[in-house]
Amino acid sequence: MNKVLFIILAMFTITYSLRLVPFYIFDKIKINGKLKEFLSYIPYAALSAIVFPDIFTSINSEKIWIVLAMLFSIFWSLYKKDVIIPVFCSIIIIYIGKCI
Amino acid sequence: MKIIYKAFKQSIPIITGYIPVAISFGILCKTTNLNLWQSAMFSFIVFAGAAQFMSVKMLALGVGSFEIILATFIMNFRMFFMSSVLAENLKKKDKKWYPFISFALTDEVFTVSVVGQKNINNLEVFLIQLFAYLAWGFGTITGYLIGSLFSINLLQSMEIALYSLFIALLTPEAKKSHRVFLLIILSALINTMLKCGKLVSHGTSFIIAVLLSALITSFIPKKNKGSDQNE
Repeated sequence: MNKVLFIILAMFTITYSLRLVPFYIFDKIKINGKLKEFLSYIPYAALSAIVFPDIFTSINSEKIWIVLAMLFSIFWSLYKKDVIIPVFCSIIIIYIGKCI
Repeated sequence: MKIIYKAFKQSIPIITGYIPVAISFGILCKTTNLNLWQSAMFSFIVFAGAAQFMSVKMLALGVGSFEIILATFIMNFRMFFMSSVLAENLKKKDKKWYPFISFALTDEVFTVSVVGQKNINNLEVFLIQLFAYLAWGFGTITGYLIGSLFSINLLQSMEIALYSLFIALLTPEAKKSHRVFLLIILSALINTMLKCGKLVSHGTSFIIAVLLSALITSFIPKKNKGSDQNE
């Protein structure tokens, strides 16, 4: 078997197992108390760690435009429960930054 | 029909973020001399954004299979925690859905289906995943075939989409709860310090930041019981 195909299949097996196994674990086990509270924090912590610091390093743009796009998203979503406007306006902000 | 519309609406920001990144992935595959089938298989079979980029770059450098697979495991270990949380949050636990709603569980799908909504329904999660999956897969093929036709500036600008999505999802939650606000700051700080210090790998710093900040936050004593809970 060639190397690329082998890697694709191995990556699939690993990634799929990591995604699938917890469903069966939590099907059997009921959790509560501290562990439940701990798990409830994971989404927010994960989101935050995905965004920071990568938002500043992975986008090819001057930092000022990234900060502007970020502030816009924060202020918009503070008042409106909507994600579409922040997504599209931040793209426009970064794009304007590149064109200027 | 209504549920399809709702799922599609929720997947729009994900799709917007995925398409340019998938196109870039297709372009990367082409410059790495993978063939179209291999590139498409990465996206349609593995479906794990950051890990795909990493492994193709490692392949190009001639890194051994074992190291690539180990790196995938470390990088994708976060999926284990995300799956656990989604499994806990499902409205109805239904075994026959598990193989389907776990396959395409990415950071973005997880986020949209968990943050800000409780007890999501199996079909809705599945549909959000399906739209995201198709955008990613066909984006890759598009990038491979005609990637050079796209405006680089626009593709690069579109990469902010997923970050803005995450920020717009986080902000209302941080506004609702001081603990979540603190948690977000902690996690961002820990991850930034670990990454800038370059002490651990990409996947490891993420896992440490998430687990440590969630652990610290769950042990902060509550002043008035129940007044600041996010439930």
